[in-house]
Amino acid sequence: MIDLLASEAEQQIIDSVAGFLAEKFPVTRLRPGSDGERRMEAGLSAEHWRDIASLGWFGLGIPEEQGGAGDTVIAEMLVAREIGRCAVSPSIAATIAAGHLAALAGSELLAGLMAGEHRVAGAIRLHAASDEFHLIDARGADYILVVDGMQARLYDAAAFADVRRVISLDDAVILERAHLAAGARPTVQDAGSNIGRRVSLYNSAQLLGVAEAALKLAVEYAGVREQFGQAIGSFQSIKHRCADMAVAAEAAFAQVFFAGVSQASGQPDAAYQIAAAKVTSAGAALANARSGIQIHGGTGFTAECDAHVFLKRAHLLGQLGGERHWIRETLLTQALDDRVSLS
Amino acid sequence: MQLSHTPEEEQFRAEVRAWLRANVPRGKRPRTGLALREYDLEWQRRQYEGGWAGISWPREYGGRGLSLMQQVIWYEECAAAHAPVGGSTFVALSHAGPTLIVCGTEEQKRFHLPKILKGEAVWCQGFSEPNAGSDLAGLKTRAHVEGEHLVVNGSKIWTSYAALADWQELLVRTDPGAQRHKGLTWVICDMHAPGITIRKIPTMSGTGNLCQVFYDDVRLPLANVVGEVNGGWDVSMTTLGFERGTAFIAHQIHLASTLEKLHVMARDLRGPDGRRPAIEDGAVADQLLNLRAEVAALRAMTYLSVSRGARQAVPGPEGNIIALCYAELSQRIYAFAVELLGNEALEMHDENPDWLTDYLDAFKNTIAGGTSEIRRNVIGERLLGLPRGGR
Ligand SMILES: Cc1cc2nc3c(=O)[nH]c(=O)nc-3n(C[C@H](O)[C@H](O)[C@H](O)COP(=O)(O)OP(=O)(O)OC[C@H]3O[C@@H](n4cnc5c(N)ncnc54)[C@H](O)[C@@H]3O)c2cc1C
Repeated sequence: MIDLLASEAEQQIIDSVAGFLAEKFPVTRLRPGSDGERRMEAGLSAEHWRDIASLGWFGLGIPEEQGGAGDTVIAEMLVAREIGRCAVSPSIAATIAAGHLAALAGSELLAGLMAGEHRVAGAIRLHAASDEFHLIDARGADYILVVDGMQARLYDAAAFADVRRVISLDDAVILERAHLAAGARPTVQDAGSNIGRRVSLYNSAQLLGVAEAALKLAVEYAGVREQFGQAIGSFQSIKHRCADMAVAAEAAFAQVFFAGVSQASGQPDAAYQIAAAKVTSAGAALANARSGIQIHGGTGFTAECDAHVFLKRAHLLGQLGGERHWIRETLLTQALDDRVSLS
Repeated sequence: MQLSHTPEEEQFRAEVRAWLRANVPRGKRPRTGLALREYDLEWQRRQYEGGWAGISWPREYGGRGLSLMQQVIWYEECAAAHAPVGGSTFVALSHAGPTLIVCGTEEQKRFHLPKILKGEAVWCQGFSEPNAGSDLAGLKTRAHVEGEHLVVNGSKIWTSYAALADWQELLVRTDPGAQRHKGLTWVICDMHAPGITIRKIPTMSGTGNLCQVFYDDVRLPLANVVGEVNGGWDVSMTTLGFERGTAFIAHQIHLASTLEKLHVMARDLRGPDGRRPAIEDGAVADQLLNLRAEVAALRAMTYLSVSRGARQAVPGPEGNIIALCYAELSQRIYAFAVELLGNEALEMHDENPDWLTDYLDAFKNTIAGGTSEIRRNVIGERLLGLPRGGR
C-alpha cells in the first residue's frame, strides 16, 4: 500500500509548524524597513534557538527509548518543508540530523542536542579536495556537520580555524569561510550512509518548500495585479508560467516524499530516490523562484518583494544535502532493474 | 548584402583603439550614489574632449555626424578595452538625446544635446507608474496647463538613477477626457524643480539605483514639451523605439567579452567531478559551445540592426527581437557562470564586476524597458500581424 498524502497526525505537525513560523519567521521579516535596514538580523539568535527547541523538533524523529518522540523521517521532512517556505536557517535541519547521528552512535551529545543546548551548523567543502569550507549560520554553533558523499561527520566547532565572514548570496544566513584543522578528529561519525541520506531528504524538503512558496506568492500576485484592465494571471504567458511552476512543485512534492517513504520503509532503491529528489526539488526551487520574479515585473526586482528570497535560498540549498558527484554516481550507475517494483 | 571594411572605417578603428588604450578609466566604477554619477560624467567628459562623444549624432549639436557603423566600431573597441558600459549616462545617450534629435525643438536640441555630450547632465526616464508598467498608456500622473507652465501631480516608479539625475523624460496625462493614448504629453522635467521628492528602492542585487519619484505641483515651462501637448504617445514610441532598438548595442557587444571571461573560467575551475577542469566535462563544453554560437548570432543581429538603422530614422518594432534575445541570453550566460562556480557561488564579492552581482542584476533584463512577455506580444502582433490578445 502506498499513501503520499499527509495523515491526520502529519497534518497536525504541518499546521503547528506553519503556524509558529508564520508568527515568528514570516518571509516578510527579510524585507528592508524604510531606513533600508532589516528588522531581523541574519541567522538565528540564542533566544530563537531556545524557542525552536521547546517545540520538540530536535527530538521528533529520535526513537522513544532514546528520549525522542519516535516519529518518522516523514514528520521531520514536513517540518523541513515549512522551514524552506519561510527561508529559516538550515542549521535547524543540521541539528536534527546531528541528533540522529548521536543516537546512532550512542553518543551522550544526544540529550543536549534534543534539548537545544547544543547547536549544530552545516558546512560545505569548497571542492572535493579542499580543507576549506563554507559554514552556514555557524555563529553560536557548538558543532559543525560535514557530509562528504554520504559520509556524515560531526566536528567540534573549535576544529575550524581562520573563520571569516563573507558576503552571502542568501543574506538571510551568515556565511563564513573556515579551514578544518589538519588531523581534526570528528566527535561522532556515521560509518554508513543513514545520516547522509537524512541530510539530503531534509534539504530536499526545504527546497520543495521554497518551490511551493514561490508558486504561492506568484499565483496570489497574478490574481490581483491588474494591467490593461485585467488580472495579469488572465494573460496566457503568465497563466502558463504559473501552471509550469505548479507542475514543477507537484513533481518535486511527489518525488521528495516518495524518497522519504522509500527510506523509511528500507527500500533497496532508496538512495536512487533520494538523489532524484534532490535533483527535482533543486530544479523546481530554482525555476519557480526565477519565474516568480518575472511574474512580479518591476517590483519582483526589488528587495521589497519577497520573490528574490526564494531565488537566493534555492541557490544555497542547491549546494547542500547531496553533492553533484554523489548524485551522478547514484543516478547514473544504479541500473533501473536493481530497483524493486512496488508490491 | 556585403561585408567590407572601408579604409575610412579601418582608420577610424585604429584611432579609436589607440585613444581608448590611453584613456579608458582605470579605477573601479562605484555601483551607486553620487560617486557613480561623477565617475560616469568624468568618463563622458573625457570622451568629449577626445572628440569621441556622439559619434553618430549631428555635428550642429556637438556630435561627429558619422555612421551608426562607426558608432558600433566604437562600442566594439570599448568592449575590447574594458571601458564602462551603461550606467547613469545611459538614458541621456541612448534614448533621451536621440528622441530630442528626432522630435525636439531647435531650442531644446541646442540646450540639451551639447550638455549630454559634454558630460554635464544625467537624465532619467519617468514613464512607468505603480499601476502603469506594461500598460504604459494607463498612466495617471496628471499635468494641467497654467499660463506658460504645466503643473504636474502624481508619481513615477522604477525610475533608474532619478536620485542622480538633472533631467527626466516625463510622460504625463494632460487630457483625462481623451482616449488612453491620446491625452499624453512628453515633457522635459527638471529634477531639481520644487515639489519633487525621491524615495530610493532597494533591489535584489544592490544595483539598479531604482527610485520612486513624487510630483507635488511641479511647474515645468511649456517650452519643455517635446512634440505637441497631448501628442506624447508618438514621442514616447520614438523613445521606446530607441530603447528597444539601438540602446543596447553596447551591452550586446559587451556580452561577448563576458562570455569569453566565462570560457577562461571554465578552464581554470574544477568541473562537476571535482577533479578535471570544468571545460573537460561534456555537459559544460556543450553549454559553452551553444552560448558561443548564440553570442555569435547576437552579434550578427546587431549588424542587422545597424543595417536597418542606415535606412530608417527610428528603429521599428523588429528591435524587440534582438532586445528579447539579448535579455534572455544574458540571463542564461550568468546562470551558467553561477553553475560553474559551484559552491563558490554562495559568496558575493564587494568588487565590480562580480559574477553573482551581475547574475542577480541580469534579472532586470527581462523586465526593464518592456518585459519579455510584452516583447513577445509586440513581435506577434506588430511584426507578425497576429490578432491582438484579449485586452
Ligand atoms: C531595474 C529596472 C529599471 C527600470 N527603469 C525604469 C526607468 O528608468 N524608467 C521607467 O519608466 N521605467 C523603468 N522600469 C520599469 C519597467 O519598464 C517596468 O517594470 C516594466 O515595464 C513592467 O511593468 P511593471 O513593473 O508594472 O509590471 P507589470 O506590468 O505589472 O507586469 C507584471 C507581469 O505581468 C506580465 N504582463 C503584463 N501585461 C501583460 C500582457 N498584456 N501579456 C502578457 N503578460 C503581461 C509582465 O510581463 C510581468 O511578467 C525599470 C524596471 C526595472 C526592473
